Amino acid sequence: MAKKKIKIYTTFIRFWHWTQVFLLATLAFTGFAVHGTHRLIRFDTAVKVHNVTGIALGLLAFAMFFYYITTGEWKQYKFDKGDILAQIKYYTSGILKGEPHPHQKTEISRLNPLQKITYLNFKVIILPVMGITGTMYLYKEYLEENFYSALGLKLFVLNNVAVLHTIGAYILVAFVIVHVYMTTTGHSVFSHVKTMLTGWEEVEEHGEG
Amino acid sequence: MKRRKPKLATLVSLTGIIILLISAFFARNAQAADPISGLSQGEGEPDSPTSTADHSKFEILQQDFATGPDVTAACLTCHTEAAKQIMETPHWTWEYTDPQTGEALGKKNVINNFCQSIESNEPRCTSCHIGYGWEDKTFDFSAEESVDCLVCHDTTGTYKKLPTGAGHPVYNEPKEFPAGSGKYWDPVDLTLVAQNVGATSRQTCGACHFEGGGGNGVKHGDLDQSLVSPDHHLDVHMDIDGLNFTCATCHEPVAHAIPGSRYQLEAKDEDGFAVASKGHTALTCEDCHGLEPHPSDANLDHHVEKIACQTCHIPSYARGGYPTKTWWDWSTAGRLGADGKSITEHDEKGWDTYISKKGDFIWEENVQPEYYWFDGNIDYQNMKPFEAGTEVLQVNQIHGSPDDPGSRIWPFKVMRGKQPYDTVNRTLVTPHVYGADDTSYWKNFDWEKAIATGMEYSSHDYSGEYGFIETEMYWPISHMVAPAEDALHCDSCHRREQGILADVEGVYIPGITTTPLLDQISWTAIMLTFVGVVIHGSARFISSKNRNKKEGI
Repeated sequence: MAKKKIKIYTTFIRFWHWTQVFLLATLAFTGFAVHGTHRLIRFDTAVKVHNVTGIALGLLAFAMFFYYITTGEWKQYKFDKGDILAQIKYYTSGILKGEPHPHQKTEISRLNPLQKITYLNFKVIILPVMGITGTMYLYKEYLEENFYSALGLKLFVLNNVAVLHTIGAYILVAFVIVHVYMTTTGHSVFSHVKTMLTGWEEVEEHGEG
Repeated sequence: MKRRKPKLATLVSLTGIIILLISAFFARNAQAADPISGLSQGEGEPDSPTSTADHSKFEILQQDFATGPDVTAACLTCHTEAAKQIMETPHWTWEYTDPQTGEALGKKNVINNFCQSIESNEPRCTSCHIGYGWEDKTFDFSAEESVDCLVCHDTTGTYKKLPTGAGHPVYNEPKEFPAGSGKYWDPVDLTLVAQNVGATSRQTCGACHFEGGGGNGVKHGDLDQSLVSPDHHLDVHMDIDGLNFTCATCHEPVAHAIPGSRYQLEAKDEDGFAVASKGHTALTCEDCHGLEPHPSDANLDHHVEKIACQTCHIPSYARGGYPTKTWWDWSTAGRLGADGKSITEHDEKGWDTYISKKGDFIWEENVQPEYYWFDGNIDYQNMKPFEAGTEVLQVNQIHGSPDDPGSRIWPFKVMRGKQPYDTVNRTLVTPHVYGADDTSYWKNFDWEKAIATGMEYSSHDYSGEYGFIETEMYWPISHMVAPAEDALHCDSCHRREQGILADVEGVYIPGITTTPLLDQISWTAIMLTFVGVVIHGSARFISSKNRNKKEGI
């Protein structure tokens, strides 16, 4: 079977991905310090770094959304339901039997259906929730003075905001574990990571092509 | 001629400056050399050139005074309104009416867990009254010459009220105090003192306020003799080599009324900088530092809303080398020596841990305060009956809550101990402790008699049955302000183990407040995810090996 190399990830996507890796790692480390899970750094250092990193991630997310909308990349996330079952079946049994991957990566469709669901959740639920709760946390005094008290709201006191933000953090930890593991399911253990670094993916050439 | 004028002016001003510098130098040296006036005189104090009067030149002060009231009478010939002003203040009345409850408070009425009560013990307690002769209930609070001007305005350091003199110093002949100790107090030279009056000082205020509870540092913990000449670390404002504040720099009197009483405490100043035209003198931290006192850190400024400045900036009290009493157990008093006489026991540091007259003590230094929500209101138990089954009675109760925008987290010294109470009526009692009669506790070591006499004197019902109850008393801490570099650090509170605010409830404090259920569920889920990934990976690894075997690779 002939193989060809196609460019799966553009420069921006790769820049966005790896910057996000760095920012999320920093946020997790400092965030869990603020939460009191560990005391490897001083509290005030953790807060300062976390705030700056959070704002940086917010900016990056805006750039990402802008990129997706303006380039039409968002179409990557269109999917049909039938594919999901095939994908689940592949991960639960096919992958063990050495069956071929049901999804063929192309420039137009680089994500398999499970990736689409997961990443879409990440982009439109987790990231915004973390962004909104993080902002509410950061500007708690301002919001309390100008909004909550005026609206008679006790709902958004720091406690609730912090708990939501923490739940998001835990989900992200679980996501990262699975995500990192999934990088090993390529042709070789590191081929997915390599693709994410270089942008190039080796795919099988189809007869018609 | 026209060109000469400025030259002359320059010459005159230069000479003026030089003269000023030289005189300032000599004034300093004179102070340092003079053991009497050189103790702790700061700026604006007697010898400073800012005073417009030299009291030694007043004829009326050039006489031999027999008593303190004689001096006062002389003072009042010029300072005609001074005594009237004093008489309006709690320094004179020892009374304060709670504006909310109408209850009569103040030193005269409050029962504490140190010496307990003033009534029937006046001559001892009123040695710190700003007057002369308050020996019992019959004291005339309207006699102007009974006001003691000198105790606050002495600059010589020689004026001392005899601890048992009902406010009088020693006249004529030396007096022995404590009785039988062989220590004699010399008579005071009233003429010298009167001719050298001046502004109040840390010493004059401290003569009473550092000595509350019967001795140096006993009562407050954040006020003791170390504040007479504190260094930078003990008190950043009073630092003798720095700002050199006196008490009156913050407690700035208006017509002898001195702001800053525990009975009317401002727990949260929302006005910020004090404006003189508001008739408002500087007293709270915010009056000088404003509401955003941390220029480099907005996050710290946000703390001002919920945390009193004192909480971080007074990391511990009794820091000046003197301990403060934190436990006083009256129930063990009365144990006498083999000779039937009063005994005193000391610990290895020389602090008295037991005195027959008073019971057991615990002293502490560098004490970390306890922290509570506080809105400035304090209620006092006094003679109100308390509930049956009360194990620890709060002789005063502080108010405040996390939901109240007027409350902040404040530091407190909590004084604990045991004191007698009426077991039938369940009230505190006012024992007759001091006196050379046959019922006072210190003379007779008999609580029955002491309580009965004291309660009769204070006109309260007494069942005749007494016991001892453990009590607590809360003292907001406001002095011994440390420099910023010694203040609490973020990590002092924002930590799970030994965070000093660990016991403060009702507020989410990042780093302290745990979400145990969420954390447990989440970490379990994360562990399961990890285990799942490991199992899946192992299955892939094994199956691919098997396949490779089959295919013979």
